[in-house]
Amino acid sequence: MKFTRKHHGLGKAAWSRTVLLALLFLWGTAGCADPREGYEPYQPIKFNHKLMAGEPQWVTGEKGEKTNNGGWGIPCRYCHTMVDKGRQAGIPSENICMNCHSVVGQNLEWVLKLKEYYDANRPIEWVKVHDLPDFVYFNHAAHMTAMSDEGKQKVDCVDCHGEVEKDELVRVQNAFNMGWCLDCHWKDDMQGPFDCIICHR
Amino acid sequence: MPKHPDNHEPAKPIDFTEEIVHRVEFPDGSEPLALDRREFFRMAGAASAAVALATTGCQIPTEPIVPYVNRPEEQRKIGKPMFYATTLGNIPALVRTREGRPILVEGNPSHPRIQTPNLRAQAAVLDLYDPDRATGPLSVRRSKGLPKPVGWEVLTKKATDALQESRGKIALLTSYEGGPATQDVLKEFSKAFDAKIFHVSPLENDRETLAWKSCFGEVPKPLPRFDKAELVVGFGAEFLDFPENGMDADYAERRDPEKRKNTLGRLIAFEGRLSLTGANADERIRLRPSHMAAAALALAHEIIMVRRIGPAASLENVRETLAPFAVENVARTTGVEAKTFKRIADELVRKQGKSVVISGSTATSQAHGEALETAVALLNYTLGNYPKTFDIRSNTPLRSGGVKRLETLADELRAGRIDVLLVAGANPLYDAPASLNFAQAMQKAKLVISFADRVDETARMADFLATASHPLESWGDARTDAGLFGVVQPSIRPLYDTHGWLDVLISWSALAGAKGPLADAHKASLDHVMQKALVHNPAYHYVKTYWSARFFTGQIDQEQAWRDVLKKGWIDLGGTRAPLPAFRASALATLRNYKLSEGKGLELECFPNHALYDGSQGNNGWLLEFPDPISRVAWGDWLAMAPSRFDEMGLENGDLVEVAFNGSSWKLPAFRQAGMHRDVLAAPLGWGRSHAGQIGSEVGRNLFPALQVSDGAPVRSGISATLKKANGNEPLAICQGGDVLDRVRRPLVPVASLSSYLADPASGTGQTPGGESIWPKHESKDIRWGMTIDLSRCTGCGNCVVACQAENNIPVVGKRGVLDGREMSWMRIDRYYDAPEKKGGWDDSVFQAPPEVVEEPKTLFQPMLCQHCENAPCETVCPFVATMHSEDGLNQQVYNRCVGTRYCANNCPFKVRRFNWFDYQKPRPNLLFQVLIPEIKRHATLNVRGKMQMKNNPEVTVRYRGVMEKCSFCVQRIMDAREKARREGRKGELRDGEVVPACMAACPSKAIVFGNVLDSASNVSRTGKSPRAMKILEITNVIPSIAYLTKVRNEK
Repeated sequence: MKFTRKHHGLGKAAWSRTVLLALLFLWGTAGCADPREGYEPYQPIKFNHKLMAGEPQWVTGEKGEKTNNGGWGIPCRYCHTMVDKGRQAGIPSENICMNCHSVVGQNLEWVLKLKEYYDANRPIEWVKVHDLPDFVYFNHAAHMTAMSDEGKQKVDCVDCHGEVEKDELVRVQNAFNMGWCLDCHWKDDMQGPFDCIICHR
Repeated sequence: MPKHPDNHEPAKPIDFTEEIVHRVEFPDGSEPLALDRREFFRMAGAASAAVALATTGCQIPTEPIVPYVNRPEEQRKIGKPMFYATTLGNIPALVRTREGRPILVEGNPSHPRIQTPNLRAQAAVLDLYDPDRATGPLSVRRSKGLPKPVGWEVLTKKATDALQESRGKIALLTSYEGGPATQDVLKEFSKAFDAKIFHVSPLENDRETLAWKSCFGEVPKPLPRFDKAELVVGFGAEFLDFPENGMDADYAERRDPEKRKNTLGRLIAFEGRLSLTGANADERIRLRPSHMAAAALALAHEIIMVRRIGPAASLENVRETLAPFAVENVARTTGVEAKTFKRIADELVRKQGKSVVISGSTATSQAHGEALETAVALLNYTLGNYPKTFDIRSNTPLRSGGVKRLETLADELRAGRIDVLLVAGANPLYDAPASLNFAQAMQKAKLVISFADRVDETARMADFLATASHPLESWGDARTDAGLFGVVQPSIRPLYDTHGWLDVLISWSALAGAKGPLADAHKASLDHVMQKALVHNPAYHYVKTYWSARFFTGQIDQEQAWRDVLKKGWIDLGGTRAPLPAFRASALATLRNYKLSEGKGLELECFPNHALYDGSQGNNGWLLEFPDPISRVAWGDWLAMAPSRFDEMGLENGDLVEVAFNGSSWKLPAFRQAGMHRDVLAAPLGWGRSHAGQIGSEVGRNLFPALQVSDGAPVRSGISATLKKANGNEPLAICQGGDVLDRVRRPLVPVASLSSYLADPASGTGQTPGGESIWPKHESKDIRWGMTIDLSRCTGCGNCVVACQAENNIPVVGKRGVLDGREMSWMRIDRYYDAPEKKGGWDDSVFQAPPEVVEEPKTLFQPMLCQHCENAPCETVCPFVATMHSEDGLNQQVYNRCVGTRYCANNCPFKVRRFNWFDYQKPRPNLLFQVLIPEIKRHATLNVRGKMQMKNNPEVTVRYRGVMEKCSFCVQRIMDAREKARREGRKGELRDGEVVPACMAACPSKAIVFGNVLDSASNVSRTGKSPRAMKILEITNVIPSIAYLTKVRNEK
């Protein structure tokens, strides 16, 4: 008995199917090119970075009263207290919000919502915006405390997170993948470390 | 073209000369698929990949961030550990917590005596998250039907009513020692309700205590200080197996050849089975347990009567008492040569006041254990050791008669004199001798309430389970030594609806009408709850008040003093140092009762398992999977037999044998154990829990009930037994392949005798040089990490193994996993038997462990972990560059890059790389997989059920299936130190000792030193430059970063 093969390539019908599948594959994987950049989720409370951290714009009214049309210019570290001390910058606990909001803006919609959470002793489940994979151990403090030879801070919040205070919602403004990290690490003025275990352990 | 299903043509017969095409036809008339096999798979593969990617891969997973509502002040530093000082059992410890979760039990370096926790204290953190704990009080109803949840209110009502009604007929059975305040609670409780307190402990050493009392009266028994003893003679000694009060650290201190030179410690061990202590001995003499006392008395006769040394010679009747034990007589009976006794006597005489003679708790538990202990005391007294090598201040409380008390309690119960029985910590239905028939006696009580944390063997025969909190969740105090007390402080609020047993006892007493401090503490706690406290903690108030009143009386600010104690974890009130009275001649009567007799038949020794001890932590995967340091068996018990007897019976490891003793017969898997006396069998205790939980139940056999009680104490050694072969084999999960090391062919462990070390400090470190390397050298700027392990100090206890497992999120793989050789521990302690030098070498025959090598073995321990080689063979073979060298000399393993080719593990000469064959740490709810591969279900049971993942260290990745892992030198701790240095403006400058890996921190004997080898002032470069340092496998030119320092044996 003899086994033979008439043809070894793909048949005509199979070709069309393969092309279809390839297209499907490309469509499916298109998002993978950069899944993080541009991510801008809604939060359980409409926290407005523009209002909190943006530049104040004082306008003098007709009767000479001053109103602020801009933000309140609160520094990042007022809320993100651990940014120069630990791995995580820290999302503020509700009592930090209440430092001001027990007095300020008490009748605003979202402040009422915040108060509701606070009074019920219920934590707010914020949606994580800048989410690195679990095998990445990024360290905020290492970046914030990195000093150049002239004693200047090498990296600031803006360099990675963008100008958060210009938008209402926080949006991922950079690629936040390994290539992007290393692009910075091997700059002459940065000279960040290169060992894998710096981030992966 | 649609066709009617009934109308289709009949299938043509297949023409085999044509290409075979699989035609799939559809009954609904759809067109048949014409695809060959390859094409089908090609398309199916592409389609499934596309679907998988399109549906899951690229969606951004939404992860919540949940900050505190009101951040507590002590949690100001997110992502940083907080430490709480506490005491676990009597081991002082610092509990490392992250975000409020205890994740690691570390030693308390400030403690004067015990700086490192033992295995069980370290594993306590796993018990805390044990998913098999009861989550709230239960109505157990003596196992008639399933336990039903019951509210605390209902239970409290029942209990307080019963306490009021049954005044005078109440008993509390406990195994907790506790500190002064705990003892006081029990005293007050007993006073208030006329209750009887019964202290029991399954492994307590009655005969040692009785012998001590008969020798010296009611004075505290001092503990030996091994750092002061140049010579230690042990009779069944176990001080390295179960060290008390820092004995292991002291012992290691004497074993440092650089520091001690000629006065290096020497250990001579008489024993029947190979214990960890015996494995560390410089000279080991095999002896039946029943001859242990004879051997000690032979030495006593030789020293006192023949050499006339010490004050004992003038004691009344001493000549008649010791006369039968003349060296020649004992030598004839025991088979140990007379000259051996004489030589040891010589040595002891030379080291008067510089030696320690000691027995072990298992050896003294035999029927004539009192004679052994008396002989030991007599020897120490004669040699003048008592004030010199024994710490008069350190002592163990003189306690004995636990079984007798249990017997009394059983009798009282049977006589109907006890109506209410409270059980706290004790588990007599697991660990009491069956002859007491305690289960039947317990039935007689009207109300039995257990304070266990689960429905264990005893609790299931109770009416109610008043679920107790874990020690890491509750308040209390503890005693470590005379005048040295510790606080038990919680590091987490109770995970479930539980309360500390002390809290419950105080509350119930107060509610049932007790007055005095019990009521005060209860009231203070309630007031505190009204103010701000979240948990009702009367024990806290009791301990605080008691300590303030007794210990801080002279202090101006008692509140501050209490806070200081909480921070430190212990208080030292200073012990009294009363000199010992003279040896009482009346004690010799014990010796006269002991008759020298020929050894007959087999003797069984039931010794506490190294990791499990009394089995109370029997549901702990880390302890169950901990390989015994000697047999290297995990996940089960075994019967250790002498190789000669084992071979004669034609057994294989794991073959079942039937051991009959004390009228019962047990089938145990046999194990060919080197160094066993031919007529001794040994089996571990602590296994065979029937109601421990899903992890530890029905693992091995429980031999506790089979033990016989003689003179009111259980006999665990010298039990006469018979042995015969049984059918069947129970595979033993042995964690090591080879046993014997031929150091001529494979110089893996540096060993030297003291004389050769003194002649040449580098002796024993000889290696074949490796020659030129073809690989370029790695450049390091300021830091290269390295480690030294001093084998002279290492006792093989295995504390480092559990510390590593806890720190690095290492999964438990279960018995099946160990049998398949898939254990995951990054650190292991290899145990080798040193093959003596033989003319012409051993060749490969040594791997068969010939009897002449393993009958009288010289044991070597070698902690083995990733060597972080300079020319790492794993790095050169990884096709994905997932393992490579870092600038500071670490061999890095990148999990996200690893695809699991396992080339690296195959190329690793040290076999330290571990592969994740499964997703050990992933809950697998998929029923199909659970049915198909039962192991998967078991892995989830062992690692991720319930709250178990809360134990994980957030600084270390939890590895997934298909990746390789290995020791990282605790890189997370290095990174932490680097971050700290940078924050403090020390760019890249780390101080020596700033980075301490988990193994080093847990090592009681300070054998492990880690640091920067490029810093010439660092500790590790000092030890690394020692002539004893040897890097193994030099011939392969891998250049490890770990150097082993020679084990110097003090051989004569």
